[in-house]
Amino acid sequence: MPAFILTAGILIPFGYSVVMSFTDFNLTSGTSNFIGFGNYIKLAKDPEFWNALKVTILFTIGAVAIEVGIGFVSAYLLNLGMRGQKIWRTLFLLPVMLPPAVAAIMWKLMMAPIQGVFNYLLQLVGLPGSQWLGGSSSALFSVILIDAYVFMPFAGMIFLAGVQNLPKEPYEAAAVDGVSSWFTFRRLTIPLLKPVILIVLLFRIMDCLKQFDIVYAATKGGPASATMTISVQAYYHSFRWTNMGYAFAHLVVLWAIVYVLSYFLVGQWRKAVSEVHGY
Amino acid sequence: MVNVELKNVVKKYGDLIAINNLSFKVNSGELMVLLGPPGAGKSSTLKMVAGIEEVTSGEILIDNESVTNFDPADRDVAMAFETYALYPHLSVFENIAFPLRAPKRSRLFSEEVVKEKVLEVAQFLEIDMLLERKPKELSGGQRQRVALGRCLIRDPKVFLLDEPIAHLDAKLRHRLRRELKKWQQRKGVTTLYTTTDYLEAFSVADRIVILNKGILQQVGSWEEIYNRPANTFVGTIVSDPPMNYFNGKVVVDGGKMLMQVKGTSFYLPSPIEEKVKQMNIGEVVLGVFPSKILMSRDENFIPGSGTIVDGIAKFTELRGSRKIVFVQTPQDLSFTIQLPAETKVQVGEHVRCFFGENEVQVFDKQSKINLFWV
Repeated sequence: MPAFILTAGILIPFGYSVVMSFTDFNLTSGTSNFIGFGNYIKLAKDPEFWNALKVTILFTIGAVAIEVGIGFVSAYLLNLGMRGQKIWRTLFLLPVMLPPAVAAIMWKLMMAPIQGVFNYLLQLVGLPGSQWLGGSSSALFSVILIDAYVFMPFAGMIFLAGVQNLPKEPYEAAAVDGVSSWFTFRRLTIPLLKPVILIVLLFRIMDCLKQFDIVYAATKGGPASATMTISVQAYYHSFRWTNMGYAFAHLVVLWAIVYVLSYFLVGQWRKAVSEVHGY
Repeated sequence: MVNVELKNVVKKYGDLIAINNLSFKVNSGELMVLLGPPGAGKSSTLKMVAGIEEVTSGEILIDNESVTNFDPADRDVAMAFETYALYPHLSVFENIAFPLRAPKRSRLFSEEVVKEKVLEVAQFLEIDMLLERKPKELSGGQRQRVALGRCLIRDPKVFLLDEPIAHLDAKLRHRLRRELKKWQQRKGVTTLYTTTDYLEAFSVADRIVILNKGILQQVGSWEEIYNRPANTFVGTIVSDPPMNYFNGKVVVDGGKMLMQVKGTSFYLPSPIEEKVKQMNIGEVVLGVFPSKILMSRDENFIPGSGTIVDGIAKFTELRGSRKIVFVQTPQDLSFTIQLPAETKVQVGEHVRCFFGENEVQVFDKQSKINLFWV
């Protein structure tokens, strides 16, 4: 019974969204007529949607690359057994404890073109300031930085757990065999950490594709749709412009993208786990 | 040709002393076995020679050069790990080939040569049909052979084999210990080999180092060790059933020195008499291997100079080609005898046992050291 309630709790809203995406459901007019694939055809022709898709993909690639890259290096550094390790690890985790929207507002203040800390520091070293979140070319990079700040420690901590669980003996064997550190890293560490890397990728890609809170709190999708992700655009269509049917179509397409990628990554993860752990 | 020497090596893990002032030398081309119970410090010793474990104090020399502070890679040793230490994501072939494909050697060996060498080692270890499998698809014994293969594929200065055949089935273990010895002799590589099994040690070793709780007990060939175990620990570890021990008082009777225990008087070997006199020892432990006690049902059985003990066969046990007989005298002195399996002994039967004067070992009661070595 609890499983049924749980499943129903997940499936009913999802099914409702899918059904609604085939209607012209509008909150203002109150209409809700079946229009077949009308919303999807409209989506395919909507340059705003294609822009949102491009922004979402670029945001995901940029944020995941930074989070995984720096997270991996951080995990290695935190595993070196340096002095004050516990303090470092606690400090490292602080950003994850912040609500993303709060972090976004904090960064928005730091990135303010005139009073912001970032431009102040850039000017101190003789570099020109940036528009950051206000510039159409720099806004996407800026929200990527905020997302990386909030979620890089999450990636780092999972990598750290993975690094700490690496079996010791193969490394001893590799050391005796006279293998260089780089060769060991490439041929041992990376393959042995593959399941962990894939888990981090899975969580972060899913999360970034659905990105809403940081972008909305920092830029509301602007300037000029430079940071308009699919989720933010769906929000505008639903709650600002009340085109619920069209908003649902956005979300169903987003769900399909997330599902396909997750399916692929979970498959890869299973394969990697089987290779490394034998089950 | 390369020798290996440990000089006053100490290894501590926190407050625990795993290796205590260990010194011995392995001659060039020699196969030296480290024999001891689990926790004796055998693996730690090997890992220190490999450079995986740091030496707390002391020195390790390979080829007369101190390698104490060398990285493992610079020592040119190959090691087979007891825990296998296989690379889980690589196939058997890739695991065995791994050392040859390492950047520092990959230029020396073409892929053709690597294949040839892997196949040679795999055939030797009877795992050539498993080359495509991953470690997870192998049994414990097969994994152990892959670990051994990864070590044997190299031509290092020193082989370090940590219980290399402990997890194999009996038949393969017997074949491999013979074959390993041949392989080592053919390659002429100085080898350190650990085991908990004295029979394995005796069969493969040129010489044996016996360790207990990180302390060296004895170094020597199997004959030296078996004929004159340095202490009661050695007597126990190199025999199954273990050496028989009797605690008793030393008395002099008619000019001859005897040890009395439970109504039985054992003659002490002549060289020991002098030492007991000089050291003024009142009590000793007499030890004799079960295999060194002779037995007969003939009441006139007196094969030479020694002690005759009459007793009853309490029970017998067949162990392969050997028969173990537990004997008890009317004065409650108990001991075990090892005889050929075909020897006929009935439980409850009276038996006459002979302890040859030169077959008994005499240990100091306090230190448990063999008085022959004092």
